Amino acid sequence: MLLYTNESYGTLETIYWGLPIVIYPFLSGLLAGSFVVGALYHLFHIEKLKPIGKLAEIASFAMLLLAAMAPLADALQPQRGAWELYFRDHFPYSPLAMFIVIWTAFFIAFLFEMYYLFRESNIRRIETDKGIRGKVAKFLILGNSDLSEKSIKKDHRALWILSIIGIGLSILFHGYIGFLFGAIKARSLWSDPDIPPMFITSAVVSGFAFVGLLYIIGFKWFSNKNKVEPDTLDVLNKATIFAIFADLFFDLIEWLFSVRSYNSRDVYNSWHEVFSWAGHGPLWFNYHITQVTLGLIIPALLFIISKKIRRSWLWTLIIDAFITVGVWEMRFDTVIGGQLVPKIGQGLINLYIPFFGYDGYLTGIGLFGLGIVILFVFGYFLGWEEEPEMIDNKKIKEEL
Amino acid sequence: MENDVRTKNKPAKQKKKERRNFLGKIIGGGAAIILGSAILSKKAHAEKTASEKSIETKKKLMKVSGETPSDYGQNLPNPNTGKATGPLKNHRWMSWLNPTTWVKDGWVRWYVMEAYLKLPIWHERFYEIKESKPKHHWIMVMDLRKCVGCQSCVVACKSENNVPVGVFRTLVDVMDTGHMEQNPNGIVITDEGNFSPNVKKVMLPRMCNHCDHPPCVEVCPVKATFKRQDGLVLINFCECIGCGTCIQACPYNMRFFNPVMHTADKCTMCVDRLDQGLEPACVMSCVGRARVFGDRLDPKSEVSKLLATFPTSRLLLSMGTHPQVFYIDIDGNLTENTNPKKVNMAYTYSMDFQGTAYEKLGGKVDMPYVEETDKPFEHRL
Repeated sequence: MLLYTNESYGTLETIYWGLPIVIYPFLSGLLAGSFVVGALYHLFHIEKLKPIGKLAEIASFAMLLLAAMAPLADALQPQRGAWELYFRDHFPYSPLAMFIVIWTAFFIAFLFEMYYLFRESNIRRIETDKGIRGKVAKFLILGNSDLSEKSIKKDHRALWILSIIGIGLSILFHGYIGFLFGAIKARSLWSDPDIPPMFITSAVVSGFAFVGLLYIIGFKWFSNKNKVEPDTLDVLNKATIFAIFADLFFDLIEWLFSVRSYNSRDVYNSWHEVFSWAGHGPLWFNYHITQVTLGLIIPALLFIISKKIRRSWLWTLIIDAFITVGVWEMRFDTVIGGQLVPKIGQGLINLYIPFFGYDGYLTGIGLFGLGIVILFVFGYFLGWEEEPEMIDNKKIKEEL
Repeated sequence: MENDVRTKNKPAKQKKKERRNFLGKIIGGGAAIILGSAILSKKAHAEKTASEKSIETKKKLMKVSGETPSDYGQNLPNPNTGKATGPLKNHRWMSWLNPTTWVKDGWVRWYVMEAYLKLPIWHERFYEIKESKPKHHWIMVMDLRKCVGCQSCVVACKSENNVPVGVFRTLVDVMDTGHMEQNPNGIVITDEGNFSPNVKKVMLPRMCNHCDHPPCVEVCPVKATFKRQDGLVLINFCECIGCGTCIQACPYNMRFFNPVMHTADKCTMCVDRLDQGLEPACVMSCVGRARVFGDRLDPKSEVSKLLATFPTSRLLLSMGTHPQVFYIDIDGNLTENTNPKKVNMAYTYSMDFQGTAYEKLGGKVDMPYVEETDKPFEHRL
């Protein structure tokens, strides 16, 4: 299986970083963005965002676990990675070596966050649920079953502090992924100081859209009692508009920087060869249509135009899907587009993605599938809704 | 009821006996499994050696029948069936998909490579190397006045280091430069007038530049690649996790994934030869003595004399990598990224089969589909 990969189809210059490395910034963007959504509720106590607080945190934690798997999937000797990244880490010189440090710090902070976020509901679950979920909940409270007002206030205080730390870490976590590409000077389309802020803003956009998607899908079709609230969608979509404009601002700067002759000949030429609309570069549709027009400009305009669209679950579902696809295209254009330009040769390298192999479509499908599984496991054991999670399923059936 | 009475009233001695029996069963069963597997594996080994012996007898028969050794591995009869196989399905040049070179062939000797002379190594802060007062600083000078583009250095490197097919540690790009001049007596006749070509073939040997500030070393997340005190940039293949960051970071594109070893790989300046006092294989095999290897710190070395007498240039100086491979008489269009308007890549390794530049020359090459076999070495006989 390993043999049928991208490399077997080139001689000297090939696309070394394939689909897993596209998925890697995409997932960590979702992680950073959805953490920001969750943290907004804990920081500013926006009551309208309360229904999605837990959902956003669960999605974020699932993506955190998965974000570490994607680069390991692309490495050719992943079995050495875990040991060597911790004990032979080239910190702080290598941008990739920062990954394991920031990831570990974020992971530890997240464990605390999850503990304080779900402690109250876990204690209640022990009483209502005598099955495996109750047993898991008993373990997860770590012996602290105090439900007094004082201890709950303490939890909220801890969450407030953890949210501040977490937002900083999530921005750092995603910003350094931009730095990972920006630090590589040999790739003319990557070595760009704009890339870290671009990654962060698009991460926030994708996070809002992703949480919106999960919220609508979950509460519309899989919830027993709750319904999609138009007020929550309104707040979420208003925030999305601001995030999109910040992202468009950085996109515009990067576009001006590469299209006009403010940059070196290499950057100018390679941008035109890969992304030019008039010249029909291989990624012109992905960049101009999917990423910028359908992914950013039209959603922002639709959200601005009417309040009905902002409060409608169907419109939000469609627009959020478009935004998510647009952010995926942004990652794709950055990672693959940068590698289409040869370093010492002429012309462009043809893109070929195999189905099997470590950087094929199957790996990508597997990674996303694993993400859904992790999300479901967390949702099952911790509960993703605010209200009816404590109620046993049997009781609901009896009531019905 | 009876059962309860039995279990309760069992004497302690009997219980102990039962335990012993149980233990004995486990140990005996385990031993039986181990013995059985050993016998089976030995049988398999015997079968293997038997087939090898039969191959040897076949070879002897071949000698008797007068077949030349050049037929070896090409059109030999299959030892099992006796039928002639014809052209092989898995050609040796396709070893990307079906590697015929592997670790047991002895092409990887990283334990020799890593600090055989116990020289100190650096992963960052490369300015300290100069302060440490090294004894040697190995560099290479490419005298392009003498290079004929024969590619013997490429072949020598491949056979010396057993580099798998499809990847190169060193290569020689052959390119055309110049333009067509208007000339009434020109040979090329067009509607716009007569032209005569004023073009030139240029050769550009490429290899790892063993930079003084190597970006590839600094980006390695696990310190697998390093710069030795005598200037060589090397990889410890046992520590490389194959993430590919160094390959992306090298502006000369002289690092690659080794398809057999599944790690990053690059030119080592034949460090195992060098540590034994020999020159690199590409230097030894150069027919025009265009490649000159030597110690930059030794003023009497040929390299130092060449650097002192002739003006030299280096590749991609704008990247700030301080490359340590010097070129004499290099075309100015080649030192940075080549412009297709000025330099035509006629026959080059740098041009990919899967690239648009190759398609412009004359159509796309579809890489043939090769079946993955369980026994890729069988055709060797």
